[in-house]
Amino acid sequence: MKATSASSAKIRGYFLRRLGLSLLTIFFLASVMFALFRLLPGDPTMTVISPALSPEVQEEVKRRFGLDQPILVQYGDYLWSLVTLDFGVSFNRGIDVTRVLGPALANTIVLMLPSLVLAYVLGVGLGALAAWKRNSRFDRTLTAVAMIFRSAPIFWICIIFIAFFAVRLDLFPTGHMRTPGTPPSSLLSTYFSLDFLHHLLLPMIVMAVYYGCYPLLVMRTAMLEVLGDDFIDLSKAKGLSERRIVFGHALRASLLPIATSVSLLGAYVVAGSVLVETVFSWPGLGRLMVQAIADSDYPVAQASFLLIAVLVVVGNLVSDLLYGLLDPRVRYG
Amino acid sequence: MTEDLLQVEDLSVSYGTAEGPVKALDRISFAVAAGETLGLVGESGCGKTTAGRALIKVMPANARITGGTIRYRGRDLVPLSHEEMRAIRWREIAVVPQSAMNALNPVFRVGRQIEEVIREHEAVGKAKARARAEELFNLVKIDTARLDHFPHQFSGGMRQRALVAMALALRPRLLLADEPTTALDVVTQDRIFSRIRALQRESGASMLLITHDMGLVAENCDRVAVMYAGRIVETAPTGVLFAEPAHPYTLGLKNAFPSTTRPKDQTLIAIAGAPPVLRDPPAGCRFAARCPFALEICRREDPPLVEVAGGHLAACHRSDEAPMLRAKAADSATWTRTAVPA
Amino acid sequence: MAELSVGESGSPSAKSPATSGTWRRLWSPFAGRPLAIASLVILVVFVLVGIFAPWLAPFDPMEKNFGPDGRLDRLATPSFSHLFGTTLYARDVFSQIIVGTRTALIVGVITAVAMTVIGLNVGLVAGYFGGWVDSLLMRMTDVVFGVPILPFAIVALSLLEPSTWGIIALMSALFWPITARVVRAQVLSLRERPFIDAARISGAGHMRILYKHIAPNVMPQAFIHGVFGVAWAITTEASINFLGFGDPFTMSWGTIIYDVFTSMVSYTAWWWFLPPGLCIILVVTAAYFIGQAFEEIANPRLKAR
Repeated sequence: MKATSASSAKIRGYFLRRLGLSLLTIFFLASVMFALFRLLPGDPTMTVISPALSPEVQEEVKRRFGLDQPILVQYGDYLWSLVTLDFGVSFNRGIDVTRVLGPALANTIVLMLPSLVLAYVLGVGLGALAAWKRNSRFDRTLTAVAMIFRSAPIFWICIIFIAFFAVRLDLFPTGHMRTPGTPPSSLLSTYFSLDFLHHLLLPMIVMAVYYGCYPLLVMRTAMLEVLGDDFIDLSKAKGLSERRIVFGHALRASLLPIATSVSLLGAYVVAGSVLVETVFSWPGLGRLMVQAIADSDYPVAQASFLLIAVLVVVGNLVSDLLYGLLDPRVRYG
Repeated sequence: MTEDLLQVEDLSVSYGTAEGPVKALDRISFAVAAGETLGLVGESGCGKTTAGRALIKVMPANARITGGTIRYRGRDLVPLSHEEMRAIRWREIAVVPQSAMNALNPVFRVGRQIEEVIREHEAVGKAKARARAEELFNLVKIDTARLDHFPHQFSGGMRQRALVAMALALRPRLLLADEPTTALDVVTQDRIFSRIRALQRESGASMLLITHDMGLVAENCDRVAVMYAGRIVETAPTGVLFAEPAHPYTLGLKNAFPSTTRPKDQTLIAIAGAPPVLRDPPAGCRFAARCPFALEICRREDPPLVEVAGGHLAACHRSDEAPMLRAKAADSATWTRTAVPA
Repeated sequence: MAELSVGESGSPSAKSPATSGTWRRLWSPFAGRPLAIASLVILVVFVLVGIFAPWLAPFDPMEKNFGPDGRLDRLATPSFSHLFGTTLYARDVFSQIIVGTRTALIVGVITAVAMTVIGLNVGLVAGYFGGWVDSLLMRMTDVVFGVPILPFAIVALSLLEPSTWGIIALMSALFWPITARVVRAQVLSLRERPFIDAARISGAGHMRILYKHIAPNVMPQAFIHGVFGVAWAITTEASINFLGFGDPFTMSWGTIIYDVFTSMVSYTAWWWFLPPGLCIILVVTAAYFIGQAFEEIANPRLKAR
């Protein structure tokens, strides 16, 4: 009993330490953003106040945003506004940044989640098969393909897929979330229409194939290790069928490294959304950020970057914690 | 004489390696009668584990049976297909593995792993399988609530008893016990073996006990086969083997283990040197390089396994001089003199 | 003085293990590994092409080419005069690839060296001195490690002046934590080894122990991650250029793909978009294989996988 409470206190300590570190990373990034945006050549206020406004209004806004205050006060205000999720107003759209971020985040998630699920289904299944048929032609080919995909830049893979499946075979649209000129009649039809599905399919397949390489290789390695374990031999001695041994016993026992890799890959995918969404003109968070930067819509650029950063940091945090929780051998040092 | 349950004849197994095939088993023969316990004893790497695994044909991917027959209840297992073998595994021949190894899947509850093997071989429902698992746990004296625990929540001894329970699940005719208690302390080891023996008597099952531990053999086996470098060098009823060993290797093995018959103050004597490399075995007797009694002929000619007395076979050119060898072998000086570089 | 010299030479066991057979050690990862050797050949060719790019490129990569009829030679399929054809803007793809190789080489190598220098020093100091120095440096490392590299890079580059050097500086500033972690872990174990004690007894100062005795032994690990760093740098630089945040006047593989992408009509021009991607794959895969080969030598347990 004593040991349990001691170890749970240890887990709590580890958890708090990792959480603190994540907050520190976000604080650091927010501060760097503050510094960067004020390092800009010219009037620093132009990053917060749209230059399109008349001078009087600019002055007024300046006062309201406290930009006539000393830099440290501004820094404090800035941090406070982040905590209260007040990111200001988009220059280009004239609406609250949060109202721009919301739909973009939703669009990123509807693309990312099914892609990740598919990537894991493919990766885990094929990785397990490759390990079972170790050194066969199937294994060698699959591992080689996975390694090549892992080395390729995702945006190039996207272009190849578009060139072949969308342009050459004309199976899918080349990009966007719905056919241009057909605004959704309701929020529901944004995500639940054949047209949307048609647009979703190709980027989803690309991401599943590309990001599936990672779980595939992780699974193969984990599985090879497990297949050398004694309980696999005993399962054979028990007269169990191969299917049961591979997909029942070995696969289940190899899932630990896979489980912890999910959120890690998730973080990676979010960071990579700037590329995939750009190629496919997918109106998600990544493309929003790239466009906002290109259009000098600084409030949106800054907020979308911080949101991406938070998602990435949370992904890493969850992966660390899962690893600690699922593997009893990890010491909470 | 009763019909043997298991009759292995001239069984050879090779491992394919990058440097060429390695003959892990070279034409070994032994038999296990119904209800009998045979001990297969030897140093690690002598092929005893390979022999055990060859019987149920669960071997590493690079291993192959290259010759011989494995007659189980009169039927040769060697040519059987994968599916035919599956029907024999556990149902007829079950394994009690070493507990130190993770023979139980760490991510499944122990009960589930026992129920699994019952349901794989018999058309019984979940509840029935569970009831059987509970019976088995009662048999090996583990609280049935433990069925819902994971392997890592078990102690080593308890894990071993659970493995015994699992081996008995289908009432097999032959138990294949490979170093079953090696990782356990002596007291736990004794307790488990007396349990196994009792259960074995009840069910009338035979057992093949694979071990390096001469003490375990002496206490548990009816007959013993001694293996060296992929061969059987001596086989005899247990009493005979310990009283009148005829092969120098057996003499050496006996010396290397504490015994109740030897004076307490006598130190244990190890056999100098290491077994030969099986990729390229030496001509003549394989033990010659380490044997204190080796003659010219031993290095030239392979001694056949011949009967030295009723039911007692040995493969040694000097087995007719056995009493003299036994006397000399008791002297530790005999063994230190032969520290020949391999 | 006499005492000191005895301590310096030391007994064989006190000798730093890194000083023997450097060449043999460098070749050992390749012995009997056709994949690693092929990777080495690819990297050597890549380096040579990068170095001699100005002499190898048949055309100026930005020059517009004209056909025999005097019109712009747009989207020409591969031919003898244009090995990889031409772009929508009538530029020679082959020359762009060659010049892009030089950019990739510069970006890859300099970033790798810079991240190794930073990571090595942070790791050495943190591991050797321990205590609050270690805590501080490692928290710093953790924080930088958590930065999403590509999004951060494009925000920063858009606000600063876009240039290849800016890209290199940014990547170096973000890649080093990996090296630092690996090096620190090794220093922690090396610190307790007898040859360090021997050096200490002989009166060597911290700097001497760190850089003369410990550093050579952690170099292999730092080097391995430097090789991986080349791969990450090339991919990241290509991504930044693909998004249009690079220096528009520098020809890079990423820029070529950016041109394909922004011209939209060109998804049928396979000769234009295949070569840059294949080049990235070749170099990155080669770097991975070589890094892996060295890793297997450093840590034989990995080999079984």
